[in-house]
Amino acid sequence: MRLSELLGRPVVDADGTSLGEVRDVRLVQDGPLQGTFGAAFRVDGLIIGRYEVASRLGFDRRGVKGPWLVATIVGRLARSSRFVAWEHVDATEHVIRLRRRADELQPPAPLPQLRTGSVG
Amino acid sequence: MDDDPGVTRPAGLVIDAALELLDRQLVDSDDSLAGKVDDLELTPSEDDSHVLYVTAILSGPGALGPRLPGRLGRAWSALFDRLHPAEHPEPIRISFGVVQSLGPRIRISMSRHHLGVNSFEHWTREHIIRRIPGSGDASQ
Amino acid sequence: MKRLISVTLGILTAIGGFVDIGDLVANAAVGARFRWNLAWVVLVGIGGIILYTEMAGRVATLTKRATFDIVRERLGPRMALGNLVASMAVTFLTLIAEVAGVALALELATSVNYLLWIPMAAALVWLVIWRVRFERMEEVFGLLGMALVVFAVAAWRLVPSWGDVVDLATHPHVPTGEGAPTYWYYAIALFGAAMTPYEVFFFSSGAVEEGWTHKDLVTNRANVFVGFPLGGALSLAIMSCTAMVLAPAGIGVDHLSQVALPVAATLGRLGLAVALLGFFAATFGAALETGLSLGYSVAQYFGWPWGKRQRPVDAARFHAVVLVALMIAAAVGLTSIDPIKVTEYSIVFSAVALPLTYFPILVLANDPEYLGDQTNGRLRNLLATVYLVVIVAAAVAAIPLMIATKGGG
Repeated sequence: MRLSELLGRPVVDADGTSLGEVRDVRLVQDGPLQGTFGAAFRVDGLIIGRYEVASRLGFDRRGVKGPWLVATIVGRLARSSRFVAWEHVDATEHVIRLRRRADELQPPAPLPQLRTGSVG
Repeated sequence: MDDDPGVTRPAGLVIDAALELLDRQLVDSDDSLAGKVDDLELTPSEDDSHVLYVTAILSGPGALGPRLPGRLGRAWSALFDRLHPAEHPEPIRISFGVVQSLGPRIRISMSRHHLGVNSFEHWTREHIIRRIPGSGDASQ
Repeated sequence: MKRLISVTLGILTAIGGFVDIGDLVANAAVGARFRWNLAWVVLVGIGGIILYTEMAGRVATLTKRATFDIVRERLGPRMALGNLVASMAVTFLTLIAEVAGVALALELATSVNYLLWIPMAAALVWLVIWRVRFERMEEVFGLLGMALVVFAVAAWRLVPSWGDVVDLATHPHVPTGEGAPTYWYYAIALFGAAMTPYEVFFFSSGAVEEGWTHKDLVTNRANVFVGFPLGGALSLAIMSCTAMVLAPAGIGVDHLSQVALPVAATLGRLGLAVALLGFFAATFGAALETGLSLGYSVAQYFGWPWGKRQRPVDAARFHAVVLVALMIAAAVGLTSIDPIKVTEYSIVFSAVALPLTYFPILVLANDPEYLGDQTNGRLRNLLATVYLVVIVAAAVAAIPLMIATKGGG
C-alpha cells in the first residue's frame, strides 16, 4: 500500500468519538536491513489532528520558532494533536478505528530535527 | 556540492514521514535533481502482516496524481498513463535500500537515468527540445 | 569589481521587477492623476519587497534551494499546488504584458506597429533564455535598464522645489474630484506592481543559479538594499515627471508614449531616445524574469532539473514550459488585446496573490531546519508580520475595489 492512503483519513476512538484525521505517520528505524541504507523504517504509529495547517508546519511536534502571531494562532490549533501506537489501530475500513479512548492518548512527543544547525 | 552532509543514522531513528520524507527533493549520484518523494511504498512484514515497513520511494506523476485533489489528480494520473510506453504503467519506484542520506534533500546512490521511464521528461526532450539547435550545449 | 558585478543581480531584479511595464504605467498614471498623494505607497512597497526578498534570498543562499522548491515540502502538495497555480496565472498575465511592452517600446522607437513586433520580441526573449549565460544576461539588462535614470534627470529639471514635493508627499490626501475608493484602488494597484510575486521567485532562483553560498549572505543583502531602493527611486522619478507635466494638462496614461512625454518635453529627442532604451531594457528584462519564473516555479514544484546552467537536454521540461509560455504570451498579445489593460489586470491580480507568495517565505525564514541560527530576529518578524497583515488587507480589498470603481475609471 502507499503511505498517502493513510493520510487524511478520518479517525474515531474506541467510543466512536471523532478525533480528526491522520496527519502523519511516525516511523522507527528498527526493521530488517535494506541495501546500503541500513535498518528499514517501520510504521510505529499515527499522528492524528484536527487542523491540517498546524501539523503541516510541524507546530504540534517541533519547537518551531516563528513570528509571534503565526506561532500563537497555529500553536493553539496544534494542541488537539494526538499520537496513537500502530498496534491500537484498525485501518481495515476508510474510517480508522482506534482500540483506545481519546483520554488515553498523548500529544505526539517532539522529535529532534534531522539536521541540527549544520547549514551551508 | 560542498554542503548537505549526510545525516548519521543511529539505528532507532524516529521520524515523521510527512514532515521529513514526503515531498522532499531527491538528488542522485551525479548531484542532479531527480524528482521528489511523491509517495512511499509500505509493505507488510512476512512474519506479522500488521507490521508495515517502508520499502520504496515512489516518484513522478504516477505517484503524485493520487495525492492531488479530485479531478486534477485523476487527470494527472491519466496523462501519465497516456504518455507512458508500458501497458500497465507503474510509477517510478526507488527501493529504499538505495537511499544514502536523509535531510532537506534525500540522496540516492544511483543515477536518475536508471530510475525507469520518466514519461514527461522523455517526451518533451525527444519531441520538443532535441529539435531545437543548441539543445546539447550549455549557455554561453 | 566582482562585488560590483554581483550586485547586478539585485539591479536586474529591481529594474525588471520594480520598473517593468506594470510600474512604468502605474507610477506614470498615478502621477498624472494623483500627483504625489500616493508616493507613500511606493515607499511602503520598497520596504515590503526588501524585507521579503532578503528572507527568500537568505533561504536560497543557505539551503541552495529556491522558494518554490521548499514551499511544497512545507505546505504539502495540495496547498503548494494552489499556490503554484495562482502565482503562475498572475506571472503569465505579467509575461503577456511584458512581451507587449517590449513590442510597444520598439514601436515607439521605429514607428512600426507593435503587433508586428510581438512575435520578434517573444522570439528574442526566448533566444536570450536559450543561449545567454545567466550572469551575462543580468549584467547586460541591468546596465541597460539604468537608462531609466533619464527620468530622474527629467524630474530634476522639472521640479522647482523638492521641499514642496516632500511636503505634498508626506501629507497625502484624496484630491478633489476623486473618490476614496478610487484612491485606494490605485494604492493597491501600485502596491501590487511593487511587490509582484515573480520578483521573489526570480531572485531566489537566481541566487541558486549563481551558486551563492553562506559566504554570499552579504552579497544577498547588498543586492537587496541597493537594487530595490534604486528601483523605487526611479518609480518616484517617473511619478514626479507625470505629476509635473501630465497632471496640469489633465492628460491620463493610456499608452506607453505618454509615460515618455515628460522626458521628451524636457530633454528633447536625445532624452526620449534614452527613455525608449530604458523602456526596452526594463520590459525585456522583465519578460526574461517572468518567463524564467514560470519555468522555475513549475520545475521546482515537481522536482525537475531546472536552470539555465543545465544543458537544455538535461532540463527538457523546464525549457519546454518557458518555450510554450512565450508562444502563448505572443499569441495572446497578437489578439490586439490592449496591453495597458492587461498590465492593469496583472498588477491587481498580483495584489490578490501576494499572501500566498509571502506567507510561506515568512514561515521558511523562521525554520531552523533550513537556516540554522540565521532565522529571523524578533524585529524582522514583527515588521514582516505587519506587512503580512497589510498584504492580506490589500488582497481582500483588491477585487471589490476594482469592481466598485469600474477599474479605476
